[in-house]
Amino acid sequence: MALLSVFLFLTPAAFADVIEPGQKVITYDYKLTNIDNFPDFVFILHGMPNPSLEILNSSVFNFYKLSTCSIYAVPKTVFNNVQLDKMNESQVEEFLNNDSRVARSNLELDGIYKTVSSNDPLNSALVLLEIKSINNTNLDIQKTRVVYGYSDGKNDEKPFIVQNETPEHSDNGPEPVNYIYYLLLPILAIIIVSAYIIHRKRSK
Amino acid sequence: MYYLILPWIITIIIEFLIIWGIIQKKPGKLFIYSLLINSTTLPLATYSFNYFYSDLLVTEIVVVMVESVLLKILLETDYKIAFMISLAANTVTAVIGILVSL
Repeated sequence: MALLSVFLFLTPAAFADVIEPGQKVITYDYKLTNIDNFPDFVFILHGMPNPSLEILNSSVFNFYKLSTCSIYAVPKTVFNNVQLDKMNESQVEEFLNNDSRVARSNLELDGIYKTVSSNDPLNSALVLLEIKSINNTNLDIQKTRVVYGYSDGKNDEKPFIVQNETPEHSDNGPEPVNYIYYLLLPILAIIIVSAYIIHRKRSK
Repeated sequence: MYYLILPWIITIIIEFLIIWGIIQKKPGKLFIYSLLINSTTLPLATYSFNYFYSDLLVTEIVVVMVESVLLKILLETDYKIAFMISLAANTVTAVIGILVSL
């Protein structure tokens, strides 16, 4: 019964990555808000299991939901010389993690924000990243805000207080009109059942 | 709201057919019982699943228990039969739900 209600509006795709019936996964989108202030650097996204190498710009980016990624800053002159596109995956990884000319951030980016009910109006979670500084091999990037998008087109922006704790999205609950179904209908049914039982007992 | 109403209507019809198949009398009355029972349990179960506790098995168990009590009272039958009807009805709707989603 409850299963029918939940299953009826699921798409088969929901089963691809073992999502519980009636739920949906909200993945993170990211955006480097001030990348244009660092024109002498190439910013690279590298993660496990992927991407091996993705060059970032000021656009929104995302990646495979089960990946964990990091951002690296490579001076443009170095980038043009090393020809990363000709390296294999392990060479890219070796270069990004050990080369003294590469600035690394210890900020780890996750693919999944959370799993919510399929009826939850939450649609997206965009994390805004700000490059604070690049000093030798140290790249300081911080999460500044998260922008949640909802099915009604509204957005909800929340600042990061602690870097590794994403502020929760607003739980708006069901649309007001749906309370006719969720609340009014069962109350009405219970009243009718009670009245019917009382009437039946009195008739006996 | 259609995504709430459609499963409600389908559930009422399916559970009515199962109750009628077992009881085999007074279909009009049995349809009203199915309407009342599912109007009580389905909205509350859906709300609870979506906003409080998203565990389908637990939700289904609670629904089977509550519907057993309601069936026992409305059908004036013993608890064992009411439980069997409830279990059968909810298993069928669950299986149909799974098949529809595939």
